[in-house]
Amino acid sequence: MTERMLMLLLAQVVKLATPLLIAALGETMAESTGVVILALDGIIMLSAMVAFAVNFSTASLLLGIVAGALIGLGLAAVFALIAVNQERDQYATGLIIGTLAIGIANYLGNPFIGKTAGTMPDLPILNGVPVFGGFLNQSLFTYFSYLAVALIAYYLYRTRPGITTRAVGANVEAAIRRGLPTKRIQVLAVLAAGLMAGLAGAAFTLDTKPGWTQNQTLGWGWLALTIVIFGQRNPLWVTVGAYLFTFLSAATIVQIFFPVLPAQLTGVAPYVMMLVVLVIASFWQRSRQRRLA
Amino acid sequence: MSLRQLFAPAQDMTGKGRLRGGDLAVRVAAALAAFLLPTLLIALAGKDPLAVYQEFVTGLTVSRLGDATMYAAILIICTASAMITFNASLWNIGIEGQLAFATIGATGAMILMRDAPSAILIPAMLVAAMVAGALWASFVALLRLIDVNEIFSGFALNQIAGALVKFMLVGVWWEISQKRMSGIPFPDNASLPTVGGINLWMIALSLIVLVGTVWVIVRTPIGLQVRAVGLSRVSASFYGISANWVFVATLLAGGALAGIAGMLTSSTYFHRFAPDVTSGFGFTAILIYLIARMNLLGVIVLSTLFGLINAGTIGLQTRLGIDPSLAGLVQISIILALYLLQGKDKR
Repeated sequence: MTERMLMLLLAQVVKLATPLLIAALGETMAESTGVVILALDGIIMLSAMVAFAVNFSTASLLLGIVAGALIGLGLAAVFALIAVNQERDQYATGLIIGTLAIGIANYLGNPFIGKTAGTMPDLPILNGVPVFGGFLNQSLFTYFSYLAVALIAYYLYRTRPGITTRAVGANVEAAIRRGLPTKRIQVLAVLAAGLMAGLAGAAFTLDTKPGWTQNQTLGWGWLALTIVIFGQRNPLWVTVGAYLFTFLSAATIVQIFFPVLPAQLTGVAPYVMMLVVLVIASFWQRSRQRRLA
Repeated sequence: MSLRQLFAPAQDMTGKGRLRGGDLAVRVAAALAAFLLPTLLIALAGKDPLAVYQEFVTGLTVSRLGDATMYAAILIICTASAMITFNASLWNIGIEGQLAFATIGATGAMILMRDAPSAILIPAMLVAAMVAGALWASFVALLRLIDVNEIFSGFALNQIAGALVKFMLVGVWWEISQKRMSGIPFPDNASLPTVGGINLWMIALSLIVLVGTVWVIVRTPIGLQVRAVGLSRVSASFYGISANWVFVATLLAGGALAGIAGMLTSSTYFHRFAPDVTSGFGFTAILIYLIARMNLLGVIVLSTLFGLINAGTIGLQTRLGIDPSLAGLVQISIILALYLLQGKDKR
């Protein structure tokens, strides 16, 4: 593999990992408060569809991004209202809201299938940086994801509200006894996760995989949830997980390890990787529990 | 045990989602209210909602009703599969994949014994599909034994099973399918026969599976062990019930039931083996379970309603240019409305 090919591959990996990373970072916030949003896949998909539809209709990338973010925020608000305020089952609520969002996306997205519209330009900010400039140089979404890693990591581990947020997830009962407004903290975290999922959706259809087809982003929400499990709610590990995961399931890499794999099965690589990641995460978790015990 | 006891509202240990006579009317009202969201979306897509609903009702011919009952029967069997694992507190999202993988088993049996009479071919396909479904579920079970959450492993395995179906069609069985992407057709002797357009065999089979499943879970010692683990793994262990054993057993049983659904889907509902044969049955069944829980009547009513919705939507595409995904949208709107009506879940 030549150096140029490697650069292209890494650039592709960073581009593919961007929406995954944005969504996973948002979900990290929610899971830090003990809320798992199984609706993530649906939230990403509806945001992705709406972002593309608005971008196509208005020829404005900015409006597309805003629309995607608002859809993410809105769906997360519905989820939070039912799962947190009404204290309904998180998993059931997540599955139902997620399925609803996917249904709406596929139904209303029909007229936009196969259409093309403007995509996010790559910003040459890091051109001067040797080696890394070759693949880190990406669209605004990627720069946003770099920023989000830093901000969320700083927020969760170095600020008072962030530590409070994690305290809720560590032990809700204790947080309630301590007098913390646990529900409000959880709702805010879920809203943040929804906003990020909305941006992830927009990143998909405006940048990573431009355009819309049925089930365009199907599965990426589940991959994001898996990466949060792998990263054990730590934004830095989540970031490592997102890039490593995308790298290992990239078609080029899969072909290197399994040169004779039929074409129908290369697309399934992310889900095989998903199982591998889950197994690794579970072993880590178990060994940590043994150490604590 | 008397028949009346059997059909009495199931003793749902968690007390969730029991349909009582009094709030049945409220639920019907909610189901109607659930049509508000699809109506809005139809209008948003630039179609006349009234025309769509009119076409929907007139489109329900006898052959469509036959489709609806088959669809309902498959859903009922998938919901029974969900019942088994959910009672052990396992969120078996993998039913869809188990169903898909089971269609490979059923198709394999069909290819090997294509010319056998129905009395031999159908049981053979059934066994092959059940084994395949249980095999696919066993992966979730094995991963569960090392504490991998069954929701995520189930979802991944669904995607992998879907790809395997494609691979079998385009790769292994490409010659047998005579290189048609539409799939491998099933011969007539492979499908359960219909009586006057209605597949009574499938209806009977689905009801037997459903009642049998509820009976085993609610009224037998085995079911008690399953529910005990579902309520509290730790407490169950004090009574000498191994949670791991229950997890493996329920997942295998659930997979086998999904296998039955897979066999019916490919042989009798679609009459072919193709990538799209799963059609979301496994996923919809989970949503039905989340609403109806262990209530026999609830499962049957919802499945039938969903079958009708699906059958009514088929004609809409050709006549009004409505995308068939509308069916799923109406279904999930009903689920959401019913879900919101239910009180807080007891934890």
